Amino acid sequence: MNRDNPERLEAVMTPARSTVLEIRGLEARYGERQVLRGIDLNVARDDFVAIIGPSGSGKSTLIRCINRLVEPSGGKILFDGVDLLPLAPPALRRARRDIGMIFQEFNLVERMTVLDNVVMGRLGDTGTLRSLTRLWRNDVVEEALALIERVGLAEHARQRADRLSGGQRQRVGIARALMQRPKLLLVDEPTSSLDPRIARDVMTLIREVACERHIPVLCNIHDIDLALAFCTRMVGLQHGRARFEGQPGSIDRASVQHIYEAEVL
Amino acid sequence: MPDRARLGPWLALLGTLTFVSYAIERLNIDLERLGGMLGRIGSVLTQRYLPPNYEHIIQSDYLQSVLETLEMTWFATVTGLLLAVPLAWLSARNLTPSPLLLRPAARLIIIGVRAVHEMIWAIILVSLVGFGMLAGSLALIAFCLGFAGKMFSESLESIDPGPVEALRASGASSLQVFWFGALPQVRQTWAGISVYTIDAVFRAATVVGFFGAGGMGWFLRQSTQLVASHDVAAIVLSIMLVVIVSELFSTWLRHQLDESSA
Amino acid sequence: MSVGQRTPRYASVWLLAGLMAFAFCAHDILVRDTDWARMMSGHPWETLARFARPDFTLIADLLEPALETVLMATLASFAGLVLALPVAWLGAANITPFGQLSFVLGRSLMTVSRSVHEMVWALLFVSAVGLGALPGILALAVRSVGFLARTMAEAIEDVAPGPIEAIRAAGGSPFKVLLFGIVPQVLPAFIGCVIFEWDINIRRSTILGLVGAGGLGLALFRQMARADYAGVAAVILVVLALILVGELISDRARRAVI
Repeated sequence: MNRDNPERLEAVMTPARSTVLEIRGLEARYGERQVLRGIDLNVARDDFVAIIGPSGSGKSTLIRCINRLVEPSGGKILFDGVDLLPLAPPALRRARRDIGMIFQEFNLVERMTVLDNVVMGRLGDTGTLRSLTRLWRNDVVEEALALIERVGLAEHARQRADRLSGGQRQRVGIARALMQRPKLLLVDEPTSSLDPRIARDVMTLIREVACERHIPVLCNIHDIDLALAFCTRMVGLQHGRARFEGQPGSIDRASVQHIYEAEVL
Repeated sequence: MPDRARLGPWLALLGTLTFVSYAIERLNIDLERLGGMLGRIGSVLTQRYLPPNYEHIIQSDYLQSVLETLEMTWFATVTGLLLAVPLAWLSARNLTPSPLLLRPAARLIIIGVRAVHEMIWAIILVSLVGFGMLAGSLALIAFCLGFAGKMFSESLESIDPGPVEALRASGASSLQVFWFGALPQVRQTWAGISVYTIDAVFRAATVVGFFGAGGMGWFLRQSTQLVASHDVAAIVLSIMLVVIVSELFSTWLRHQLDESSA
Repeated sequence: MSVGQRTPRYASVWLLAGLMAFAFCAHDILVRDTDWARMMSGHPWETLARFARPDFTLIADLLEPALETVLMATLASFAGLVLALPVAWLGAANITPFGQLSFVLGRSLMTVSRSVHEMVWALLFVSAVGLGALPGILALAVRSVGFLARTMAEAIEDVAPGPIEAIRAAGGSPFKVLLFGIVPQVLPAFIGCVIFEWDINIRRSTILGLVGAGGLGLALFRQMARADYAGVAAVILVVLALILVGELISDRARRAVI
């Protein structure tokens, strides 16, 4: 990224110096349907922001707009002081390397080993020839093994991903995201495909690794109790708009219930 | 309306009959020639074609042409499959690096080579590069591209999008996304398609020679033109034999592949 | 460093053997059997240049043959369907009437149909019924039986056994089982594969000009015999257009029935 970018200079000088991600007036639409109607959001270092809201509120779209897996229709996304929206594909790919992502359905390559899957987190930094022949650098493999050990799968490193349980697969997903050495973690419903006890373990792991490495986290989550237990800040989304924002302690249950009301009915 | 539902099949039948009689009229088909056709085929077979002249197909020239047919098959299949891989990648909706430029181009190539029958390719290529195995091989490569390219790209379009999304999110290039997110998912299917392709290419290879593009087909043409019916019978039988052998082989190979993956 | 990718045993041996065979074939085809001096002489390029300028004035005269081609392919697909039904009946393991015997017969008929190229079939039928559209249609129909009957037999083998048992239990004959237990279940799949085959038959019908079957095939062979490559290119363009339209229609039609 261009270090002399005037926008970056501005970011350094403004008071919110530790801001990693700044979203301004973000809009997105699927055809005719407006999904996001002007979202503003800041994520700073050591933040663990939970986005809650009923299904269809635009949570998943919001997360995917940030790394442009879904193309936003308007607004600004400043990541590390650089607006991501106007970036051309090569520059976008470089920016994506700094943003790790964890998925609801884990999204592993089932037929490859745990180690292969984790190493793949580093594809963006690996030359085409080296990656296509799978001649990974030794230090990359070592780093992947260390991460696999950190998420507690040391003895599974050379097993195929389709042999693992749901909780174990999500741990592989976490290791893969960390392999990018990301400056931001996007997490999309990490626990919806897991049973409650394992969901808690997975959330604990995400929280721990993020704290160790000072990586801010932006996490979609359906389960309010989990959100309250793990986040430092919470954003409630409804119909593509942010309805409230605040620390877990300061949020009253009534307003949370309110945005879920439509779904209950 | 219950009446309508009962009428449906009758209407379909009526429509079919109308169409068939129109088409027969239009194409000037003399149905009387159909009458006794089976008997006539029988007598033609027994009187003219039988017994097959087996000596014709064990002469070394003919056996040489069988070898040529095998060579063209292998050469064309390997080359065609290797070319089909990038084409399939470029033309798969979910993986193409360039939806507006390369995807339409790749799709046009696949549909275009498919639209032209392999025999027509053989004729055209013989007129371009002259008689011989090169023309036949190129025709078979075109056939293989259309055959495997379409099936490859269809299987790519039906993969699980999860890994693709994950790799894309990590900043991998679209070639890397294809290689690591998609290929492992289709490896099995592609192996089966490839074996199937060898089989189909071989079947085509037995006859492209009819227009001088190398292989067994040339002998078929010569003996047909000379009305050497006993030779024709032997050649047709030998073609059927090698095709059935190749089909048995490909069935066996697909079994092996299924087992090695289990 | 390569990480734990499982490779099947002997894979590298097979790969090496395949590559060596490929090199051998390539040598035979590209070196031994090709006259590169002639290739470089410019003749192929001149011919190619003539192909590259299709004779568009011909297109108006090609509309009628195009219609004939469509008619032939459609008739052939119909006839193929009619011929394939009994063969599928014989070759479907769960309903074949006379056990192993008829099953093997059915499967053999499919193999014979598929293992003879449409051109060989056409030559055979010419000697039985003379030149014209009829031998062409018969050739395509017989050639279609293999694929149609096989996919149909597979569809029949996959049907739910409940209704069949019910009819058998009620004392229904094998034919009644077929008509009331199976046909309703497999009809959409049948129509789907006939439409698929129709698409292929349009393609195939272009070579039937060889047996005087009319349609675009005849136009093509006529231009070819005159070495009118611009005309050949025009015919091929029309075939291409026909196939594109056919692909569109067959795609829609298959989606509608399945």
